[in-house]
Amino acid sequence: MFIKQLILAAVGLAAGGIISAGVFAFITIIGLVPRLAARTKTAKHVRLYEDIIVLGATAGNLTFFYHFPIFGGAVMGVVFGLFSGIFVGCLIMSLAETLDTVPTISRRIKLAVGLQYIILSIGLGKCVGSLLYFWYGMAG
Amino acid sequence: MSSATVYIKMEQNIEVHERDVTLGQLGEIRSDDKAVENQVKSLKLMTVHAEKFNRYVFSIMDVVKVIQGLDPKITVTNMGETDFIVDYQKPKKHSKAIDWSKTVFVCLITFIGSAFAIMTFNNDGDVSKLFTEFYMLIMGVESDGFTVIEAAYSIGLPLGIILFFNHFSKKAFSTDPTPMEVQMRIYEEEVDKALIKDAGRKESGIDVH
Repeated sequence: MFIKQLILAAVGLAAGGIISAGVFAFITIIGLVPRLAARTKTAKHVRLYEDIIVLGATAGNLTFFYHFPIFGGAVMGVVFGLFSGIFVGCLIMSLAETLDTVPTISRRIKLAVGLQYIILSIGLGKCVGSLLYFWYGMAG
Repeated sequence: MSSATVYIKMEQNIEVHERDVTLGQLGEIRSDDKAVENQVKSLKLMTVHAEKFNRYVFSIMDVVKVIQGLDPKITVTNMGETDFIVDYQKPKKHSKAIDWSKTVFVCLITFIGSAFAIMTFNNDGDVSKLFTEFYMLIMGVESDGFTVIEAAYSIGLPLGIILFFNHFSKKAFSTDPTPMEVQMRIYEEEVDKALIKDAGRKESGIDVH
């Protein structure tokens, strides 16, 4: 019995290590945090941001498995929604940028003016899409 | 008149806080003739007229022009960048409160964002279900969802990230820069490259002496 528990523990530990390194390697290579740090001119705190990522991931994972009650009610809901929204928004744009989506398309259609409106449209489109998704309960 | 050789090594991006930008501020300058070296160092490349902050892109040719204006016989040897950015930032009183609120803002995004990211991953991959099934497979009894495997997973998770980032808090495992620091430099370099390519050389609000 003890051996079996040990196997479970080893599997859990290894899975956690590999998955987290993978997920956060992705976020690092996508370059989300460097962009945020550059925009706010806080590049000297990059190591602090890494620590915060460790803490955030641990906290999120614990909440996922152990359903901790989180205090703060609606305010906490707004805070979590807002900042996870900013995070996903940045993540998607970093991903699109890393994959050179916008440069490729603007070159394909020989775009000459109005790049800023395209960027704005992407933002608005994401907003409308997100609202529709939650409004019509598309999560299934 | 002197036929000294001047060696110049510029960085790609130089931050300055004074309106009169001299060559000495911008990079390393060496010469066998010390008098020439000092003269060259005090040569003025430009005067900033902009109010707050601005970036100016220069070519090493601008520098050569300025040095040859001093003495056409000087030989200039460039050991560094051929194009560089002078980043003028107004010497401002640093408001600690604003600086820290920015950092807190980014911390909130990274904290909640990583919590969100790992939860979406766990949800997408249906990790809970996988763990219950795996528990069944090994132990032969039904899992209640609060077993050693979830606990170990929760410990392994931070360990994996810490290993990847190569440090936690002040405790580092090696002297390498962290992956995020590497990404930071790559990003800054890309921005500099884009600025240099962008620059039509004819900036407004500056004098090239």
